[in-house]
Amino acid sequence: MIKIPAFSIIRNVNASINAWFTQPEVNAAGRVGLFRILYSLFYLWHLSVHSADFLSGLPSFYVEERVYLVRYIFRDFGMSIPPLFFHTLESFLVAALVLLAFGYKTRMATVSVLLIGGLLEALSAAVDGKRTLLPMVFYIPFFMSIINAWGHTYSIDSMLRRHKSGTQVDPHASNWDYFLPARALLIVFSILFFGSAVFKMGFGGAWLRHSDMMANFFLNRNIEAAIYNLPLNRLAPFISQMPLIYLAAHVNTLVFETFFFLSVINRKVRDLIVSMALIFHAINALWLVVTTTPILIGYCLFIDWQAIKDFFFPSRRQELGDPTVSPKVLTFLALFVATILGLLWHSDLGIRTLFHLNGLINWRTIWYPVLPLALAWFVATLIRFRQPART
Amino acid sequence: MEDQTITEPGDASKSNPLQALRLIKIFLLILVLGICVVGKRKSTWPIVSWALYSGYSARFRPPEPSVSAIELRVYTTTGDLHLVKPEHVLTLPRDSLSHKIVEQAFDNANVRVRDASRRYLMRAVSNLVHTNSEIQTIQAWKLSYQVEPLEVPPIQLQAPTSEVMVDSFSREDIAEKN
Repeated sequence: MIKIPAFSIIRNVNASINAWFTQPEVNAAGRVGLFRILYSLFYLWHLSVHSADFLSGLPSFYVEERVYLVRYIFRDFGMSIPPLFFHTLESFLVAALVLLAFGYKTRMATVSVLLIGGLLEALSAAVDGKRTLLPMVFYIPFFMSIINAWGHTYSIDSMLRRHKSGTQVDPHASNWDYFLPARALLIVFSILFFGSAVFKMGFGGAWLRHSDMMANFFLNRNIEAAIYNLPLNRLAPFISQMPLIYLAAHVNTLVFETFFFLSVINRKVRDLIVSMALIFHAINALWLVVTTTPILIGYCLFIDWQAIKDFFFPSRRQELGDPTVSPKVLTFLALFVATILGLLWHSDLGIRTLFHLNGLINWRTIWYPVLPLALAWFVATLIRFRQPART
Repeated sequence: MEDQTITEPGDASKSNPLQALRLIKIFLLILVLGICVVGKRKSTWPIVSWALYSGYSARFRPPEPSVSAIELRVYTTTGDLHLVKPEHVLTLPRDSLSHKIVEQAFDNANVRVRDASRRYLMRAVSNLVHTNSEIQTIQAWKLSYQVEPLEVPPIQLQAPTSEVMVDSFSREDIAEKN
């Protein structure tokens, strides 16, 4: 039998990829279950401040590039679509997110969030694509719908399963399949960041040709912030006069994006790079008026929410979710809240106001707590580098 | 019934984890190849790259000595005045699309585009300005500011160097063309 070397190389690469994906992850089952609740609340907050109803009646000459996925379904685009169409879709999306938060029919809710959210964003992308929405709107629900990793803990589904068959999942279980979507998202981030660096340095990118661009960027963004009546960056003039600082910011951006893929090495490196990413985005949002807020929820997938829960509620560490409320009552509650919020989302009763606390939580203020917490996480990760790796 | 704690992969999930792994690997391969092919296009959503802030645009050039901003002065049928910033017109804050719509609504280069933009703007502003009376007129004012880039604040927002009315239109102007 003739052995072809190329095949054996492919086999070895595939085996290495499988080995990486199937590593155990601490508290994998519990952390993705808690993440599901956080994701749903974050998405609801996003919907409370953004609506796709601006597309209704929008003249078609504002369309920049019509997305192939919806090109043949919506030929007349926004002109002929009434606001009710978008409001109805958003109401269903809100109901699906409420069911997802409760963990009732989790897979169905995940698929609904993927399809409805994807449709709304595919239509919006034709005129005003927010590329940083991709992880929230598409990648996270897509990967989660493939394996439904986040529906087995902290959910009505798990309570019903326990009630029916007496089986339940330990939130501290470190099985790889619960963390498979997170690892897939890490690869996606690595690809997108690497591509972003490539576009900055090549293919017409300007980042290797203009050494003072970051100095100007700091100043221009401060002018923009002044026009928008936003808080100003008092250090911008100083930074723009200090080549060491603005060149460091310039190089740091390129290095960070190029080498984000190193986060696949192990958990400690991943924690270090993800915490750096949060610091990077917080500084961009708070000082440079560069909004990448939706990406925040993608990074949250790499935080050990189960460990945080155990830290704050140590007495409940050994409990595996003894239900104090009957699953049937919770199911009724989930369906009731989903229906009410879905129906009243676009009413004048101020339901949406509840989710952004009357404007208190906006694209900018949400970063205020993130910056110190990310800094603390970064320092804690640096300290942990001295300790042996956990699995 | 005594509870049983599940810890083995796949026990809790109806999915086959290895099958899910295979699907995810195939998708990631498509994503890598797709991003190499699509470049900066966004019509291939969700296969799109992050090519933001890559070119040498105005934001990376030295600041201009002056800057201008459009302000909409909205009058209702009862004579009330509402000041509206273009960035608040849409539910997408500080977005370039809202500025584009305002610019087109007061640009006479293409009357068809201008009128369609005006109708859209009238509707958007009506949704934004909560008033019991109807909107009568929308005026666009260009406010210019002298820029001192090394000062904080770099412009005096309350003291524009000039205020010039660009154009205005009323509800009747756009109603005739409906």
